[in-house]
Amino acid sequence: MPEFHLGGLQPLELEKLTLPELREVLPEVKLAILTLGSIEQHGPNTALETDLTMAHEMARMASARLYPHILILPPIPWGMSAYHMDFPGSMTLRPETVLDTMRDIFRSLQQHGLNNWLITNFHSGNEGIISVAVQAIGAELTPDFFGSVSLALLEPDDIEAQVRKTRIVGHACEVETAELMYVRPDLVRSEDVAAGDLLHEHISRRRRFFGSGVRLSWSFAEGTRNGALGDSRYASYEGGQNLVEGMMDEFMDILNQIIEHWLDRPEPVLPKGKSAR
Amino acid sequence: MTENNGEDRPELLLSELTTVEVERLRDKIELVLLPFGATEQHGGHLALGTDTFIADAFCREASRRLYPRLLVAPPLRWGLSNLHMDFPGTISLSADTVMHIFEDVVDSLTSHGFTRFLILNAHGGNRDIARLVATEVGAREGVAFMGAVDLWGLIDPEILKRHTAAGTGRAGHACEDETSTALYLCPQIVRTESIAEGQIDDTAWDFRTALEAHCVRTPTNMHDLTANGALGDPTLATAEIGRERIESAYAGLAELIDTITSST
Repeated sequence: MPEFHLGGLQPLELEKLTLPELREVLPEVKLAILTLGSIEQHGPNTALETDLTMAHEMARMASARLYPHILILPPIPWGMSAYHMDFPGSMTLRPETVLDTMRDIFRSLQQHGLNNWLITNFHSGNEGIISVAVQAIGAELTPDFFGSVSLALLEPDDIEAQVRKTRIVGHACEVETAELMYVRPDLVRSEDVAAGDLLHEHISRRRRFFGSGVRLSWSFAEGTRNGALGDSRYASYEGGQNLVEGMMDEFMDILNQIIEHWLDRPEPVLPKGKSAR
Repeated sequence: MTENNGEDRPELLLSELTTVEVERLRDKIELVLLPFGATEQHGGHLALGTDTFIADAFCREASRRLYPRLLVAPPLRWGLSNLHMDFPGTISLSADTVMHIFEDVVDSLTSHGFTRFLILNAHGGNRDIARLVATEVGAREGVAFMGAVDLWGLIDPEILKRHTAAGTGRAGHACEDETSTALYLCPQIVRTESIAEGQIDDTAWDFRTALEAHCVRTPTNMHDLTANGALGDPTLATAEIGRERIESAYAGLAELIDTITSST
């Protein structure tokens, strides 16, 4: 399958290297990226692995652009998707399974002297467990650098405003479908694009608390009958290209800052007037 | 089942389907294949993901040939590889973590009405945990059948015997057998120019063999056993040997699926 989104460049992927190839490149590696994906319903229009694909492919794009400094690990395909389980095919891990898997993976990296780790994610349902993982596993294994990026939050507002045609977006909608069209067009069913079949009463009751500190347990089936939000009939390849490249600009900026301020400078620069204890 | 059978059929991968497609195919799917690989050194000539790539490629092609009877779940891309940790890049999960992942995977799928599961393992180090998973997870609610099989366990024993006799007798990892399999199933992960005989330590090998003769299972650090990470002699590998092994394994799997579905 041609990978146009990589722009003719190759990422550095652990799984695809032989031992001598890895040994040769290892001194150049500054950061290892692990994607936490999700296998969950994405309406009639996009595949179950949409979030996994978006996060992993954007990590691969970054690795290709910063070759050979970013090592891509095999992704964890499943994430926290309990609220999608009413739809066939959705899979979910328990939170403790996610944490155990990450701990084992990062502990393995540590044994090879790889101590700078970044988790990439494209699924809002994963944000809680990633936050816990960075705190808890970070305190336990004390890596030199450990962080996470929720890539979907990097959509530039101006581009999103152009692509978005409906009010309630965020899952299998025109925005996400366009993004997937750019990265993995074979995972979009262009004959099955559809408006989200929304249950407005329930959604407006939940939206009452948007932006507040309130969190509610729920099933996605309470908000949409077909599993989609927005209206994927408006999705286009060009819109997706603009969005993903816009997110990549932000992501590359974040990575360059991480490299400059953390990875290439192991000791923090203290503010003026303060001295190290 | 014969070669090139059903060229026009698609592979049936759960993660690449939409929820609507899963719903539509659900009653036609007889069993879910759970590919089980590893991320560990495979000598100087095979990629670290060899076991995952082999398990994944085999399950994909099997699902195409038997479409739509087999659904392939996302592969588990790491396994029990602690014996390889002295080589860089190896990632190893604990037995507990592997068990918990399979529990979650099977619980997710039984909630959608899938009832039969088969772990397709391609890494020797996973063999014990795969069997234990089958025993434990097989007792969970909604599971009508749960099994674990090694890829080489599907190959006709006569073929295995013939290949073993023609090989070094010291096969087992990144060796003539595995390299032949990779040359047939996923040639993109083989660096043919770097294929070299395993640098086996005779003392360590003889000790391991002697223990196996007593049916003793003990962990042998792979770095002590082979300096370059390979066993056997992969220079003897050919795609033709791989074809014979894997075509036999497809036939073995088809027979196994019939046996399972006629009894459960």
